[in-house]
Amino acid sequence: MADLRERLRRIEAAEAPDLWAGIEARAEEEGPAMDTNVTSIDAFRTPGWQQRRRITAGLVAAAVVALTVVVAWEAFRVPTTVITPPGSLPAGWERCTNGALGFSIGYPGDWFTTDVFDGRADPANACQWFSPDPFGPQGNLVSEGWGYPLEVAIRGRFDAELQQALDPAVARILEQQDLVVDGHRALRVEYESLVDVVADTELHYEYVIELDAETTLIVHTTETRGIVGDYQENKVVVDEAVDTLRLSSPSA
Amino acid sequence: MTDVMVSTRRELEMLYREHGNRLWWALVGFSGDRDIASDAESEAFAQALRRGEALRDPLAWIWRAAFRIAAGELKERGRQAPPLSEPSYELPEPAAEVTAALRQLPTQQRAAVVLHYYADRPIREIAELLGTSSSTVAVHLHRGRNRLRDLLGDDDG
Repeated sequence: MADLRERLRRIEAAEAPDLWAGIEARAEEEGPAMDTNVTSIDAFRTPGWQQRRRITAGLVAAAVVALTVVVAWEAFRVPTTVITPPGSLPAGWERCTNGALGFSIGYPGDWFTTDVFDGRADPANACQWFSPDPFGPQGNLVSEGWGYPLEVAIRGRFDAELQQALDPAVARILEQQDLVVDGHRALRVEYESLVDVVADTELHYEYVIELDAETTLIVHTTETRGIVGDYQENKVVVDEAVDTLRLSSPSA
Repeated sequence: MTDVMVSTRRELEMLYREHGNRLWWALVGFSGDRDIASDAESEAFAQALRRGEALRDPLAWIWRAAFRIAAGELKERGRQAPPLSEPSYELPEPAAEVTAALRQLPTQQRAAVVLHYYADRPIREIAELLGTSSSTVAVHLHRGRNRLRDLLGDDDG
C-alpha cells in the first residue's frame, strides 16, 4: 500500500473554491459571534483550550535549522549502544502494560500511575504518568507536557521528534547517544530548554524511542515544574524504567 | 476601518491564500460534504476576521474552529456515520474513493487521520482539538491506518 499520506493527498482532486469574498461579507454581518470555544459536540469538548500552551508555532519556525542540525548530528554521533531489556524488574518494582499502544514499562512499586486524563479513564492512557504522590479522581491534571517525575509521552514520527528534540532554537544539547531499545532505534538526550514557558531554562532528560513507523515513545523527566523528587534521582529512575521496556505491536 | 484592521485583514487573507485549499480539502475528507467544508471554513475565517488581533495564533485557531464547526454541522444533520451508499458528491477519482473510505471511520478516528496524515498537524495539537490525550490520538491513528489499509487495499500507483 502506498504511503497513507500520499493516498490522502489524492483527495485534492481540484482547487478548492475561492471563498474569500464570502468570508469578508460574512465577517461584516451583524450578530453574536459564534462560540467556537466550547460546543456541545462530544468529540470536540475542550474547555480551556485557548489557554493551553502554544509552543508549536515557534518550533515550526525553526524547522529548517533543525534539519541542518540533524544532518550534522548524524555525522558526529557516538556509536550506538544496545539496551536489551532483561525481562526482569528491579527489586520492588512493578510492571505496567499499555495494550492499546503495545508497550510495557516498569516503575517503582511504591509510586502511583493512572489512566485517567482530565477526569476520563481510557486504556490508551495507561502507563504514561508515574509519581510518588497519588493521583486524584481527575487523574492527570497537568495536561500533557512533562508534569511527572517519570513520564511516557506519545508522539508522531521518530525522525520528526528527533528534529524537534535537537532543535538549537529551543534546546541546548548537553549529552546525546544513539541506542537500540528492545530492537527499536532510540536516542538518549539531555538538554537545557531555551524557550520554556515556566522557567527561563530547565534541564530535561529523555529517551526518544521509535515504537512503529508512525509512533514514538518518549520516556522523560525534568528538573523543574514542581516535579516531585530530585532530578538526578529521577534520571536514574528513567534509566531503570527504560531497561524494563518491552515493545510490541499495538493491539488493533 | 483602522490601519490595524486593514493589516489584520491582509494577514488573514494571506493565510487563506496559503492554507485555505488544504483546510478545505481536509474538511471535505472529514465531513464528506463540500457544503459543510465551505461553510465551516468560511465561518472560521469570518470569526477570525471579527476577532482581529485578539488571536495570538490565527492559523491554529482557524483549524480548530473550522473542524469544530464542521463536527457540529455533522451532528446537527445526524450524519456522523454516513451510509456507505451515500454519493461522493461528484468528486472525481481517486478523491471519491478516499472520501468514501474515510466516511467509514468513526468520527474521532476520521478527524485524527485527516488532521495528522493529510494536514500534517502534530499529535499533541490534535489531542487538544479533540479534547483528549496524545495516546488516545495515537490509538485512533493506529486503528484508522489499519482500517484504511483494509478499505483502500494495496496501491502501487
